[in-house]
Amino acid sequence: MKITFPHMGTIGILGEAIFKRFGREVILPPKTSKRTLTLGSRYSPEFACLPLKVTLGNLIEALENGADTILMLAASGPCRFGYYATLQNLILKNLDYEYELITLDYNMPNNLRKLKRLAKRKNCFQIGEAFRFGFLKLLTMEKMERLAHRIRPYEIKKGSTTKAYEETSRIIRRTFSFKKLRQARRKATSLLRGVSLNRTRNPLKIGVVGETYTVLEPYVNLEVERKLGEMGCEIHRPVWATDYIISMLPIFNRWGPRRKYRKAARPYLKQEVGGECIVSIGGTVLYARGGFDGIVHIAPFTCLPEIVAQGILSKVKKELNIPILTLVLDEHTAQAGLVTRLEAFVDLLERRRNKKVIGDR
Amino acid sequence: MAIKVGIPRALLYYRLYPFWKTFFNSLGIEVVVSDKTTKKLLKEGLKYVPDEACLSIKVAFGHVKDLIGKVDYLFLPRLVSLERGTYICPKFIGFPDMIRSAFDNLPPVIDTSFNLRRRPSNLFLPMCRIGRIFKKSFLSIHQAYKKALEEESKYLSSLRKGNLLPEVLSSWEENPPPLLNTHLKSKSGGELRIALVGHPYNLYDFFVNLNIIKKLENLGARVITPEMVSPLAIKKETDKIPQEVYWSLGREIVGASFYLIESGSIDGLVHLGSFGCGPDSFLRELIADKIRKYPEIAYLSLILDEHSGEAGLVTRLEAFIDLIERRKAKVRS
Repeated sequence: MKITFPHMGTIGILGEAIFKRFGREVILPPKTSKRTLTLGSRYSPEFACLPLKVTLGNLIEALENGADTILMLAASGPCRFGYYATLQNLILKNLDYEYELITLDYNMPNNLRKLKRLAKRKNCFQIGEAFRFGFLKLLTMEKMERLAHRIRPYEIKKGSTTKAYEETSRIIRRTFSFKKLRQARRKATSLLRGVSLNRTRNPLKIGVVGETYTVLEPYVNLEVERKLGEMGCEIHRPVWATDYIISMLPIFNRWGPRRKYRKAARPYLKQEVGGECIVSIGGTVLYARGGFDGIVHIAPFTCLPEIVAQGILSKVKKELNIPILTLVLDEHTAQAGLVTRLEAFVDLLERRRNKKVIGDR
Repeated sequence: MAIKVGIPRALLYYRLYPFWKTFFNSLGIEVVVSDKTTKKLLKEGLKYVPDEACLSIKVAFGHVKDLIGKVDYLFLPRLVSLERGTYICPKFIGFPDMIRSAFDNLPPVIDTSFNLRRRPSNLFLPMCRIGRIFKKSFLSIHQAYKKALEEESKYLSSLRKGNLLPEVLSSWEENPPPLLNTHLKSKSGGELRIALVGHPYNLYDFFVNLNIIKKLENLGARVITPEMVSPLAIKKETDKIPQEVYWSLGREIVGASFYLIESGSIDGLVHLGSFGCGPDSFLRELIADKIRKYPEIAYLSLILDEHSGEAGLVTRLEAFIDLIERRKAKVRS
C-alpha cells in the first residue's frame, strides 16, 4: 500500500509524518509545477475551481509514480471542496487508473475505523503519538514560515531569507522522531536568525486573506507572499494549515481559532457561508483595526464563498478605510501581470502612508 | 394602507413565490414583485455586483435595484437549507449581506434565516419571526403558515402533472408576464421529448435563457423539466451516487436527469448552466459521465451569460434537433 494525497502548502508534512510512523510507504506527489497544472486542467471540468484542477494534477502525477492508495478529505457542503474526492474519483476512473480511494469526512466513528485499518496493528497510544508528532512537525514548519514573513522585509541581500527558509524546510522535513525534531527546530531557528538584517527599515504591514488553498500553495498564488516580502512588506495572514485542521474537528469548529474572525465579521456577515469567507472578512476587519496598511485578498476564479466575501469586502473597504487588492487566480495567471499589480499596490500604500504622516503633523 | 413587501423575481422566486405570497397576503400584507428581467434591469444591477459573481446573482441584483423605492420592506430570506442534509448554495447564504454591502439606500431588509439542515420540521419558527416583524399574533401567523403550505403543495402537485412552471405560476401572479409562448398551453407539443435541466432561475427566466423553451417547442420538441419528476424518483437515483450531492437544487437536477436518462423516455438532454455558477460545473460533469453510457441520448450543454447571442443559440439548438431526428430516422430504416 503506497499512500498519496494532494499538496496544500506544507500540509503534506503532516500526512507523511503520520503514515511513516504507521509504517506505511508514502509517495508524495512531485512539487506542483506547470505540468501539474496542465494535466489537472486538461481533465477537469472547465468551470471547476482552481484547487480541484491542481490537486487532480497532483494525484495523476503521484499515480504515475506508483502510488496505489489516495487519501482525500470530504465534507458536506456548501463549498465545492466537499465534493472533490467524488468528482476526482470519477475523472481518474475514467482515465483508467487503478487505485483505492479513502475519504475522511465529518463522520468520526467511520474515520477512526478507516484510520485503524491504515495504522497497521498499531495501538491507540501509538496512533495518538503519530498524530501528535505530525501536528508538531507541521506547527514547527509554520513557525518558521511566520518567522520568515517577519524578517523578509528587513533582509539586506534580496532572497537570502527565502534561501534560509528553504534550507530550514529541508531540515525539518527530514526528521521523523520527537528528539530529532527538537534539534532540527533549534538549528532552523538559528539559520533564519542568521540572515543579516537592516532593522532601521519601516516596512508596510499587509494582511493576506483569502481561500485556504490558494493562500497556502505558493506555486498557485505565484509566491505572492515572497514577492510582497521582497518589495519590503511585512506579511500577516489569518489562514494557516494547523488552524484549518483544528477547526475541522467537531468541538473546535465553534470555539477554535475561527471564533475571533466570526465575531469580527459579525456586522458584515451574520452566518458562515462555507469555505474561508468569514475568515477573509473577519481577518480584514481585525487587520484594519490593527493599523495595517493594506489587504491582499486571494481567491480562485468562480470560488463560491470568496465571491460573497468580495462583495462584502467592498463595504468593509469603505467603512474602515483600508485599501484591498483582490487577486483572482486561474490556470492562466501570468507572472508579469501580477508583479505589476503588486508593485502598483505597494506604491499606493507607501504614498498613502507618507501622506498620512504629513497630515498628522 | 397595507404594508408593501418586495420580492425580487429572481433566484428561488420561481419555486417559493406561491408560498410567500399566500403567507403575506393572509397576514394582510401586500406583495410587490419586481419587473420581469430586461436588458435595462440587468444593466442596472451590474453596476453594484462584484464582478466575479455568477449570472444568476447579477440578475438578482438587478431585481433588487428595481424594487428599491417601491416597497416598505425588502424580503430577502437567508436560505441556508430547505431540506435535510443539504444546502442551497454559498451565494444564497451570503446574498442578503452582499445586497446590504452593495446598496446604500435600502428599505429595511427581512433576512430571516431558513436552516432546515438538521431539523426539517423547523419551518414554522422562521415564519414566526417574519410574522412578528409586522406585529401579527401567533394565531394569525399559524393560520397564514398553514394556508401557505397548502398552496405550496397544490403548486408542486400541479407541476408534477407535467405542466410547465411558468404556466402554473401565472395563476398566482397578479399580472403575469405575457406568456411568450402561445402553444405552451397545449400539452401535446411535438414528438421529440427533450429534457431541459438546470437551476429554475435559469430555466424560467425568459430573458436570461433567451426563451429557450419556446425555441425548443417551435422545433417540434416536448420539453420536460426537473420539476416534473417526483421527489421519490429523484431520491432513488441520487442514493446510487457514492456521495450525496449536497446542493438541494443540484441534487434535484442530477436525480431528475439520471431518472430521465435511465427511464429511456427522452431523446435528448439539454443542460442549461449560467456562467460562473459553481455547482453547475460539477453537476455537468456528473451528468456527462452518466450520459456517456447511453449513446442513444443526445446531449447538449449550454452556458448562459449576460452577452448571450440569440443567433448562436438558435443555431446550436437546430443542429441538436437535426442530430436527434437523423438518428431516429437511421434507427427506423
